[in-house]
Amino acid sequence: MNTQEILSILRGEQGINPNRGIEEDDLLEMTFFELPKTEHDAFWAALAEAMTTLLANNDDLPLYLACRFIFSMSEIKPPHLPHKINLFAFLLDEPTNSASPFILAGRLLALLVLNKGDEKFWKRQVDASLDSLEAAPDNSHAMAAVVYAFLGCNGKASISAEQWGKLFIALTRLPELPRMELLELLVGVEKESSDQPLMKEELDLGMDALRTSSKNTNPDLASVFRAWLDKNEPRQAIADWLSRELSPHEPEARKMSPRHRITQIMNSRRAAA
Amino acid sequence: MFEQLKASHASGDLNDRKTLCEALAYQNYLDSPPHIQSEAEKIISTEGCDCVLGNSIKPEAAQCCLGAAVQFEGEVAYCMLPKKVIFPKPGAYAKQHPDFLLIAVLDMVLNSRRNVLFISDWKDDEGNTALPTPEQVNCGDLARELGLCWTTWNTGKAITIIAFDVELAYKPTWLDSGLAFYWYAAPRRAEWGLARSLETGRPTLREWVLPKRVGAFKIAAYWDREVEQDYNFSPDKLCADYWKACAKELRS
Repeated sequence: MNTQEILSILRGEQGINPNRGIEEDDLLEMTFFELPKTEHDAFWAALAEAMTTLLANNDDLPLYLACRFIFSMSEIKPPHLPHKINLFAFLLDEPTNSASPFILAGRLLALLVLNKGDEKFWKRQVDASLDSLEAAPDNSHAMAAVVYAFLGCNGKASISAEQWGKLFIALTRLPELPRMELLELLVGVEKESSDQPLMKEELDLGMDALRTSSKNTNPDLASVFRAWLDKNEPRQAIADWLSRELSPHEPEARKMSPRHRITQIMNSRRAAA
Repeated sequence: MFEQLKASHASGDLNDRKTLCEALAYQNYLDSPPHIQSEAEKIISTEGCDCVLGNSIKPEAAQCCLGAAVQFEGEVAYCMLPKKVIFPKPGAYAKQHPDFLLIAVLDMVLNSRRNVLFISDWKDDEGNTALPTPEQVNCGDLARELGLCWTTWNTGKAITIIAFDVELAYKPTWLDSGLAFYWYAAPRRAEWGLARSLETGRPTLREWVLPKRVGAFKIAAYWDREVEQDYNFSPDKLCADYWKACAKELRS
């Protein structure tokens, strides 16, 4: 499998059928597992070269799909990741200012999976991804890039109060609430629990900063920070806030208690059997 | 381009796999209503016949949900999606409130690249339940019975089975399937389509489609599953019985 063949798949030239669940990364995965194991190292080298080409051409969706492929290979059992992860060191280079959210999200996801990048690198990515989100607030991949950057900091660098504040301001400006992404953030926040005193201290500072400029502060944002501090339980605090935010948009869904209903159907089916 | 499919259907050697696939595709064309036929002709004249043999149709090329609108009367409409939203550590969701989880899955559906969602109540043409519960169903059986040709899953791959609350659904059309040869038009059924089993080649599970848009459905529940073993349902891996049944159907 050479670089050109990989590029052809990633660019959709071999066809896709998303409605039936077949996308470029699925075809790449299928191709990978059809190769003899002795060719896997060569495949990863060719993939790295293909991704370099895509990055140079700002070919954003194919690059994102290549990164999603790497993530997918990390999830299967046993994971199939390259032995020589330095092949993908080029992803550490900062992309150009014109890099799309696809590229930002994709490269951070791949680096997260490959466990590359030091403390300074991931702190820089938090700032860069937040800037990107500010420029494209309705883009879910811009939000995903923020999530990956935050997760990349886990265990390496603590997120400053300023960065948390910037994130929450960005969230409140989004046209639609990034529910899924926010959940992921909660996961990241939870993983910081061992660092809780430090985080609380940082948030105290963040709250003070917000109070001093309270005229322009969104009250919801302030209440999030307050709840966070009061409960010392970020996950629950954000959950409460999100529930309030969502309730006007999903009244029917919340009334019907769907899980209860589906359980009843399943129970009656089992009883009938 | 279109003539090739027609010729394979009329007089091709159905023992030849490529010819058989072309003939199956043309049968789907013949069994489609006129407005679907004319749309399919446009796509095939642009993209070529290869699009019906592989997965070559561009997702934006085909209009979706042009089939008959029907009131969904099944108990539960299931949809199965490989986890395509690339958020690491999905296990952490287990700690979240159930309402959150449903909303998160809704986001996953809406952010997917699908234009249309295939749903099934996992019942056969006579209304008998053909698969066990979402917790118990074998992922391979599910993909096989839903006719998901080209699916290649490795052990541990994450998939999500979603139960939708649906009122209005549509009978699937050939366009919804991406002009696939392995799709079945179910010409004698007005109220639902039938997925063609990849094991027997026979139509099995009832199916419908939904447009992927806010308001077209509600998510009632979902089940995260891990694929239990490796599966490869690409055309060259389908069993002889599948091809025999398809050829027999065309000859009859």
